[in-house]
Parts: sequence; C-alpha cells; structure tokens
Amino acid sequence: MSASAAAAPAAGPSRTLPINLFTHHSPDSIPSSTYLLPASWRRFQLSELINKVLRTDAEVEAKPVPFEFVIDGEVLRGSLEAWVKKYRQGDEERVVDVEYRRTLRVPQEVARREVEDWVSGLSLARPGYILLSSYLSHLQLIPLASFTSPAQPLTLNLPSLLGATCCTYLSPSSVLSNVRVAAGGVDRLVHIFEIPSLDPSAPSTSAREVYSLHGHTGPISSVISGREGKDVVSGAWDGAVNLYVLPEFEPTEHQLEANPSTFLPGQKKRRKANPSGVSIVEGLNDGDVGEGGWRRGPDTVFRGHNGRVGALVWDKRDKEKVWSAGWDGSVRGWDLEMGQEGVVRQGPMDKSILCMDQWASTGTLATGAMDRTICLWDTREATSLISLTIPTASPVPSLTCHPTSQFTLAAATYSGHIQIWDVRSPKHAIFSVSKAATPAAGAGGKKREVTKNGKVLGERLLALDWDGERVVAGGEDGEVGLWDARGE
Amino acid sequence: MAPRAVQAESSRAAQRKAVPRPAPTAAPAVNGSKKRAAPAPVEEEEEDEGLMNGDQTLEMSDDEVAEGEEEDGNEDDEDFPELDSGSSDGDDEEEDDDEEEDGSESGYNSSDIERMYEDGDEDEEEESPATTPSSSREDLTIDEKLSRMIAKNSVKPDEAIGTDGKISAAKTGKGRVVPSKYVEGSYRREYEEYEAGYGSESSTEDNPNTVGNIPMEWYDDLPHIGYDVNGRKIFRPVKGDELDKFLANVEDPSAWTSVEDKLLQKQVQLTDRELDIIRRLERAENPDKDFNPYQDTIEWFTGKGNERVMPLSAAPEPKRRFVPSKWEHKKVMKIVKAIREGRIIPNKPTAQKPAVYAIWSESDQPHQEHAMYMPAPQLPPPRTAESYNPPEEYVFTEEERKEWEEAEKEDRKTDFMPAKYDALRHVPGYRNLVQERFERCLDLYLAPRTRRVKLNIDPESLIPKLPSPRELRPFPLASVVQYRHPGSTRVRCVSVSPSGEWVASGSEDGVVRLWDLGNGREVWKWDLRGGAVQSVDWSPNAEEAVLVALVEGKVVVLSPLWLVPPAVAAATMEHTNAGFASSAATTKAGAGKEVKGVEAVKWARPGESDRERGVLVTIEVPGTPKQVAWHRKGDYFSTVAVDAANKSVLIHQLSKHATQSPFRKTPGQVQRIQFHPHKPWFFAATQRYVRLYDLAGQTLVRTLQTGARWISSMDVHPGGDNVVVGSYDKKLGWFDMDLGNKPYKTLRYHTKALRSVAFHPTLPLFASASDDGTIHIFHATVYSDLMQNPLIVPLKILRGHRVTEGLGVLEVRWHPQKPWLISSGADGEVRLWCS
Repeated sequence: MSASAAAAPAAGPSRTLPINLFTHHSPDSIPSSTYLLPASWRRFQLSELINKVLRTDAEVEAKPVPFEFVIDGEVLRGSLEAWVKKYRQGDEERVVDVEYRRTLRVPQEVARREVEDWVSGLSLARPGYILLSSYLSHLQLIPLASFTSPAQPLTLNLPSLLGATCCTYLSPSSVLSNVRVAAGGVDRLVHIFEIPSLDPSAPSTSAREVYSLHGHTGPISSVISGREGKDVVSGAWDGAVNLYVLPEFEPTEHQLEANPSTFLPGQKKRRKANPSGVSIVEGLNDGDVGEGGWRRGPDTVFRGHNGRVGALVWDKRDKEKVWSAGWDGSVRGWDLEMGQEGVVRQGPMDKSILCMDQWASTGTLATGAMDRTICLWDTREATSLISLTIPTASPVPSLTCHPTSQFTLAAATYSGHIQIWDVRSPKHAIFSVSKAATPAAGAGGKKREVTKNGKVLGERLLALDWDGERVVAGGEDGEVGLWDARGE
Repeated sequence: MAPRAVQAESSRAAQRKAVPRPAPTAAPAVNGSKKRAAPAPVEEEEEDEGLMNGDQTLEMSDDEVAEGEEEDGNEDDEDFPELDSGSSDGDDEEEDDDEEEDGSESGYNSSDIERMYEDGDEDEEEESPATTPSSSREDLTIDEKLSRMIAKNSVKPDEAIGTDGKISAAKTGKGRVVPSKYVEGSYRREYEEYEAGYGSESSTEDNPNTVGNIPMEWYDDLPHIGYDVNGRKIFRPVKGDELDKFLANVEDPSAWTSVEDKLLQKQVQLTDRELDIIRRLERAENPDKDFNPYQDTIEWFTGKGNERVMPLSAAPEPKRRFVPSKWEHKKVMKIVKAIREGRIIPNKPTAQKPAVYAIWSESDQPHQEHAMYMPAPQLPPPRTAESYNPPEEYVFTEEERKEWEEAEKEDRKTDFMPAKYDALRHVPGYRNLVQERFERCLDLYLAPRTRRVKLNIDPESLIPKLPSPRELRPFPLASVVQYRHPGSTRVRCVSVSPSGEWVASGSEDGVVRLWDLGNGREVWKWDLRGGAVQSVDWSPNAEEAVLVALVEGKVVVLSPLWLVPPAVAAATMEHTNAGFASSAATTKAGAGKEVKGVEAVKWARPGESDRERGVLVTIEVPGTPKQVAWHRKGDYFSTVAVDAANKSVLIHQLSKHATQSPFRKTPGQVQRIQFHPHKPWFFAATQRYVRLYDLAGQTLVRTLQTGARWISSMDVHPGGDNVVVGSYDKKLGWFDMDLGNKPYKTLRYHTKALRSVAFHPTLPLFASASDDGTIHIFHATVYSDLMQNPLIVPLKILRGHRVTEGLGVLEVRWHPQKPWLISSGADGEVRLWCS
C-alpha cells in the first residue's frame, strides 16, 4: 500500500504508533486501515501522508491540501507522541483514532461596500448575487462581480420609509427570469417583488412589487419561503407566524382593504381632492417609495409564541415543517399540512432568540439569543431541551449554519465580530474577525458618523449569511463586508 | 609444667636483673630510692621464708588477707585458677615459683596504692615477705613481659569459671585446721585474727585528737586543742613566733614538704607517697602510681581458639510474640462485660466530699459566679495629680488654690489639693481618709447596682443570610444594545412601551425618539421644538399607543401611529380626540366647569401635519413640568412642575381634555408624583416627605418621613405597599408601609446623588441610578405574608455610562416583561442591559 510505503522511510529506529485515519468528508477519505506511524510525526507529516495517498499520479504537482487532525474532539497541536503521553499516559499499544479534516483558514476580508443605511438582512442563496435589505427601506441585489464597483445595483423600494427588516429569495436559484424576492418591513407587511431579469444592464424600473402580504400587527422579523417560492411564511413582533400561499397566476384584485393612509378624522374627502392620491407623512413616505402590490391576507395563522417571533427556519429535511423561535425563549415546530403546532421546546423566559438556522445534515437547530448565547436544539422528539449552550460575548442577531458540514456555523454579534464556531469545541470560536480591526478597504473619504437621514452608525452587525465559501455581513455600520471563509 | 618452670625461671632472672636498677616508676623522693637499693637482694632471699604470716604489717589490707588464705586454698586445691584476682598474683610469684604464670597487672583496686607506698616505709625496718606486685612488676624486662603475654594469651580461659568453679577463696573454708579440743578426732577450723581495715584512710588514721571534723578555730582561745581517746585534754603544742617559724623553715630542708595538721596544730612532714600523689595531681595524671593507662587487651571472645561460632541464641521467635494474648483478651472482655452489665460505670463521679469552707478565711479568692453577685465598681486608678510629688503644673497656683478653697465641696473639681513633697516620708496623714471610705461604703450600700451583661456576639452572625446573586437570576448583567443619539446631547428620560417593543427617549435637543428595543434602530422621532425633553412616559394601556412628553410649559401627547397596527392607532386617535369633539373643552381649562387655579392650562390641537405624524394633543401648563406619571388605566396622567407654585401638580384626563389641580395649596415643593398601582391613591414626594393622598376621599392618608434632605426620585412597588425613595444626598430609602412611616431600610452605597429608582413591574427586581455613572441592581422580594419583611439583596453594579459634567445616569426603566433594564445617561446614550 502506498501509505505504508510513505510511512516506511521515516520510521527508521524511532517508535511507531498504531493510527486509524478517517474523515467525514468523503472526497478526502483514504483506505481505512491501521497505520504504524512514527510517534514524532506532527500535523505537517500527517497532512503530507494523506495528500500523498489521495493524489493520483496525474496530479502530482497539484497543490497539497492542508489537513487538520482531531483526536477525541481535541485538535492535534504537537506530535502524536506528545498526545499519547498526555492523554494515554504513554500507552502506545492502543490504536489512536484520528479524524482529519480540511484546515479552515482565517476568514479573509475580500471587499466591502457602503450602503446608505443600516443593513438589516442579507442572503447569499443565489450564487453570484447578494440580496440585501436595509433600513432605508429598500432591497438591493448586488452582483458579486461588481461588488466593489460604485455602480448602482438593482434597488427595490418598499412603499414606506420605516425600513425593511429581512429579505429572502422566493424563487429557487434555478429560475433565472421573473425572480421573486421578499422583504419584511417595519410597516408590518411582507413585500414580494418580481425582477424580470437579473441582468444588471436591464432597467430596474421593470422590477415591481407583486404582492403585499398583510396580516401582521407588528413589524416583520423574519420571512422565509418554501415549495419553490409558492409558500411564504413570515414571523412578526406580534407573535404570529403567518403562512401565505401565493397563487399560480397574478390576481386581478386585492383580497383585503388597504391600510388607512391617514388616521386623521375627516381626511378622506380631502384625500380625494389630492390629485396624487397619497398624502405625504414626514418620515413615512416622503422619499422615493414604491407602490404596493396586490394585497393578500394569510392563509394560515399560527399563534403560539408569547411575544416577538425572532426567527424562522424552513425545515431542511421535512418540507412540511417550519421552525420558529421567539423572544419568549421557545422554539416551536409547525406542521404546515396539518396547520398546527408540532413541537414546543420552551427554554428560559429571558432567552430572547434573535436568529435561528438549521444544519441540513443533522437537523439540529442553532439559535442566537439576546442573553449572549448560541444554543443548539435537537429537533428529534425525545431528546433534551437544549443540547449545547455556547456562550458568546454579546448577543447574536444572525447566524448561519454551514450548508454541508454538520459542525460549523458562522455568527455575527452585536460587538461587531464575525465568529466561526465548531460545535465540537464550544469553548472558543475557531475564528473571530471584526470589521473594525481591518482597515477600511478603499475608504477614501472620512469616516461616516451618521447616515444621510441622520441615523448614527455603530459597530454592531445585524445580518450575516454564509454559503460555505463566503461570508457577507453588515449592520449598524452601513456597510456590507465580504469575507472568504470556508468551514466544514 | 615444664614450660611454666622455664617461664618462672626467666621471670625470676628478670627480677634479679632488675633489682640493681632504680625503679623506673619509683617515687621521686630521693631518700626512698636510696633506702631501697640496699635491701633489695635480701628481699629475694627471704622470699621463701616469709611464707606464712602476712600479719607482720600492722595495716594489713584485705587483699593480703586473701593472699594468706589463698595459700591455704592452694594447698588444698592446686588448680585454683590464677585468673581470680590480680591481688593474688604477686604472692603467687613469690610463694610458688613454678606457679608464676599470670600477669600481675590484671587487677587493680584502691588498697594497692596504699600497699605500694607502705612497703617503702616498711623496707626500712624489716623485710616484708609480701612484696607488692607492683614492685615485682617493675623489675620485669621487656622479654619477660612479652613471654608472659604470650603465655597468657596462649592459654584458653578456664571455661569453668562462673559455672561451678570457685570464684573466691573467701567462700570456702580458710584458716588452719586444728584438732578439736572437745571432740575427739575431729578438727575445727581456726581463723586468723581479722582486723577490719575500713577502706578509708582517714578512718584508720592514728589520730589522737577526737574532736572530729570541726573548725579548729573553735579551740583558738583555749589552751587545749581537743581530747584524746581517754578524754584527756591535748594541749596546744608550743609554737614559736614568726621569726622562729621562719628560721625553722630556712634551716629545715624538709620544711617545704611539710604542712600544718589543723587537728593537732603542728607541722607534719608529708610522706613520699603523699608528695608523689601531689605531683601526679599537679601533672593531671592518675594519682595511682600503679595505674597503667595502656592496659593490655584481654581477648575474651576473639583471637585464636576463642571464636564464638554460634549466635547468642538461635531460638526462633516465640509464638507469643505474634499471637494476641488470650489471657489479656479474657481480662479485657471481663471488663467489657462488666461495663455492659453496668457494674462498671465509666466516668462515674467519685463520691464527693462535702465542701468545707474556711468561713473565717479572708484570702483573695475570686467570688463564685452566681447570678446575684455584683462586684463593686472599681475606683479609678490614681492620677498624676494625686502623686506625692506631682509635676509643677499640677500643683495649684494661688488663684486656683483660692478658688478651690472658696468653692463648695460638691463644686470642686477635685476633692483634694495636689501638694508637692520632696520625699514620701514628708507626706502627712490624709485627713479625709475616713470620710471618703465612709462615703464610698455609703455609695456601695445605697446605690442600686445592675449587672451589665456584655454581649459577645459574633459579628458574622449579624450579617443576614442572603441568597447568592447566582440563585436570583435572571437580572441585567451586560450592556448589549446602545441607542445612539446623534450629537452629544443629554438624554434625560427614557420609557419602554407596555408591549416591550419600543423605547422612547427624550433628549435635551428637544427630540423624542422612538427606538426598536431589540436592535437599537431609531424608527421615529418627534421634534417638539420646546427645549429639553424633561420626561416621557408611555401610557400603560396596551390597547393604545400613547406617549406623553414634557417640555418647558407644554405637555405633548404623542403616538407612533404608523408603527402600530391600524386598530391600535384608531383607538388612540379616538381616545385623544374625544375631548376635541366636546367643543367647549377644546382650548379651555377644566372640563365643563371652571376649576379655580387651572385657568392657565390650555389643551390645544396641533397642526395637521403634526397630527399626521402623531403629535396628537398639546397641553400648555404653567412652569416647566418635570415628571409625568400615568394612572394604571391610561386615561389620567399627572404632571409636576416644581416652579409652578400651587399649580405644580396637575392631573390631566385625556379622554375629556380636562385638567385639575388636586391641591389648593401644595405642601412644599413637590418633586415626584406617582399613582398608587391599584388604589385611588396618589403619592407626592416633596423635598423631605412622601405624602400619600386619597384622591377619592380627598384626604391625606399617610406621610412618610424619609430622612433624606432632598428627594430626587421615587417609585412604588407594583404591590403598592412598598416605596423606594432616592435622594440627592446619596441615600435610598425603602419604605414598607406596613411597618410605619420611617424607612424600613436606608441604603447608602452610591457615591453621588441618586437620579432614578425603578421597580420591575413583574419581577422582584429594582434598580437605582446615580450621578456616579453606576446602576445598582437589587433583588427585592416582597412577601404577601405580612409577618415577613421584604428581602433585599444587592445583585449587580452596572457600569458603562460615562460621567459627563458631573452627571451620570439620569433615568432607568425596566422592560415590562423581561429582566432587562433601559438606562439613559448624560453622555448621550441609552443602553439596554440584558441578563
């Protein structure tokens, strides 16, 4: 075997240890066998060994992939010998099971881009584009190619100036025309836009709002979509989780009455006199606001949360299930088909959950809360409430689990850090990078203190997304940062 | 026996040879050695003759007796071991030529010395047959010594010694066997005369004076110096004068070797041996001439033939060493059984003897402790002024003396006059002694005394047992969200909406801002354009969204119409606008009827654009209202303006747009107001007191005396029975109204003035904020059981607000449901503190 051949020359007079090398990442797996490796070997030699085994003759000059080695949940830092001495009291007879995985590198900031106001939501679900919602009450679709260019991206305005709180793609990434995106707003509505073409050269005016989803009595905190974009589920501050089923074809009439455009008594007559039809309220609709789409009401309303719904996740394994997490410290599972509550996991009342995501491979939910913790919730029925609590230094308003790995997640914190966590070593984040620490990329002018509309900028991050390769994060600083960050 | 004979011959030869030479160890006395030289050959010749009688010497030592006896023994028993004792060898040599085997040096005892010196004296008179072993040994040559040594060491020691052999000749019959006079044919043993030689020299000394060992100076003035054995006086020998003495000393060559015998009062010539002893002592040697410091080794168990092959005992360890003693066990079990059966009672008190008291004893024993024993108080120790020789400054001057003398006895500072004497013996008797003792006795007799029990309390036990903060979680721990105000403007007030979603803050730039509580986003703002916003407060009615803000001379009712659901917004509009509908009330004071004193209060409708943005009503009030407090139902609210004299406290009714002044005459400068959480009562805090009024009955219910100089803040527990009051003099008072009008607890822990205190609406928490920039979080459980006092536990000090221009945290408010705290500071920040 080539492995033993590789090991043989180095062995010599030194002692050898029986080592089992395995990985969970199947492309990197090597034939499972017990190798007798020199005790003095370190990470580098082990990594070389695996590279040699993996490499075929054809790709000899390929760049070796660095690996990292984990023994019993502990990353190997010194030599194998030192590990055996420390944890096995020098017992060299027993086989050591060594898991290896590709080394994660420190996230490198690639670029950053100023936006006009605080960033409230980000999505990397469609490759090549960043979907961004901001408190300036608009959605932006930024192509990654022109991320740093000053060119104005496709911007979609919400009909009020109160701000957008979240955004998501409705259409799956396979759909290339008439892409639908959704944004939740402080104005208690979910706005659904249709973009005819993603081509940046196309005029943005052709994009329009198709639907305005009514039904919430508080600002929207989270909106997700499922079933190829036909179902939209939104959670809001009023504690309700609403399911909207969008019709196949665009309707021709509103389902609901419009919200009152004024609360002043006796103003309706005068409004008719107003030729524009819209009375301007300062701070509400005095800017370039969009127009509302077809108003629709919820098809199902799930009530259960006592207080604000913090986050929603469409179950990545069960298409008929939605998870919601609330400020009352509970995580609830909703069965869409039955239209009822499936699972309730009630945590401490003061654990106000701000964000949630799910690992596709294991179904474990990860939540970030106001009480400065990241919690893992096992979704299977008969297990404990919170399987793991990871203390962070500040509240976690946004987190994303790695799309393929079952152990890593990226989290943004109110202290302005982007952290990558491995739940196998929950004491410290693997990496923690902050935007403040890195110099402003291409910041020519002076530092902004306030936005154009007088909102103070800070360091807190509010939104983050991770596709396994790149991390985008933004928040109170009015910037979107792009990092190279892998993790599996 | 042949080799023995040879040895004997050789030793004798050696002796002969040695004779002419001066003895190497001879006494240094010249005359002694001279005398000795001549008779030495005779000595040898007569050796054999003098077989018998060792009694030729007067002072026969016991050794010599033994020798004499030994001869007999030797006759009886030839094999008497020569080892027996050293004292016998010398004689053996002389008496039996062939028996000369052993070294004479093996033994030593005290009488040898004597004998050794004696023979020096005796030699002059007659030749003693008993020459001392030492003298004979002196004559031995080296060869002889060697041969003796060889002989000695080559002979195995007699093993019979100590078993059944004779140890001493004294035990067997000695003496001559003579035919019995009385019994025919039988013999009896006849012993020699035996004189007890009592070892000690002094006892056997021929001493005519019998006075004994007394100081002889007792006889100094007597003509005699003692008595002889017969009782006759021994008269003092004639002594010459000093000149005679001197001459005698000069003339007599032996004078320097003579000493005075105190007992006989005469000069005694020291003998040679005494001189020899003196010289030896001078040289720090052993006084015994015969003492050999380099004794030969006697090999008992070593050397050829003497080796011991067996250990002393090869017996194995007996079993009893390992096995516990059965007998002891039995004995112990007997005792145990007795204890079990109660026959032996451990620690049983022994029968006590009746205590007998020495009733007349006056010893200084301490009094027995009993309840009624009260020792008299001690008099103070004397002071310097009471000294017989006090320093000058204590002595009275003329004026003082005069004053002292003129004063009444009771008025005197001291009851004596300090006086200075140069010696204690000059001090006269104290005139007042009897009087003072009498008064003292009178005091002790008349004064009732009580026993002062000194409490000995462990200070640790006085500290109440408080639960640890860890058990009282959750409570705010860290600042997580900051609501950033543009510019650096002080934020005087802050309020959280009843749903816990919005935070309203009023800053000194006159803007009321509305923030998203969770992430600190400013979502709405109203510029009131009226100077600093003094206070904001949300209506407790969750069905509406009404906010009251105070600026100078104006109360503004606000509503974030566009952020709340349309139904709520409509309800709010309806509620606030209802008053306008009743036309008379719109811009006039008082609902319908004229209320005296509120003429200056005017309800006004703002402009349309303002109303569209949510500024619903403005109320013009006199002075600068400082604080607003809502009634729990959300219709009435009260404002207080310190500078508005008797119209400082106003109660406004939103639905009717009516204002009334509850107090015709305010009891002082009202600082703070508050509605009782569930009774129609009203708290008004003036500078020093908190008064509780019954609004329905128009009566004063209670006045709480805070003890503070200037009250800055007040909050009422949601239960209604407890009030906290913070003051500018850094104190916080907790009033339990069941416990009276005084504070149940006064806490002083802030280093600067308190600005705000707040009870959590649902959780047992309260917070206090101060100008020192800190917020203190307390746990405060109020028990429904009236018997149990509230439990107050300090939990956490929150730091984060900067102190700017002497001002720190200006207001704190709790989140209505969660253990979160909102604080506003003079540094222009509003912070959210989360658990």
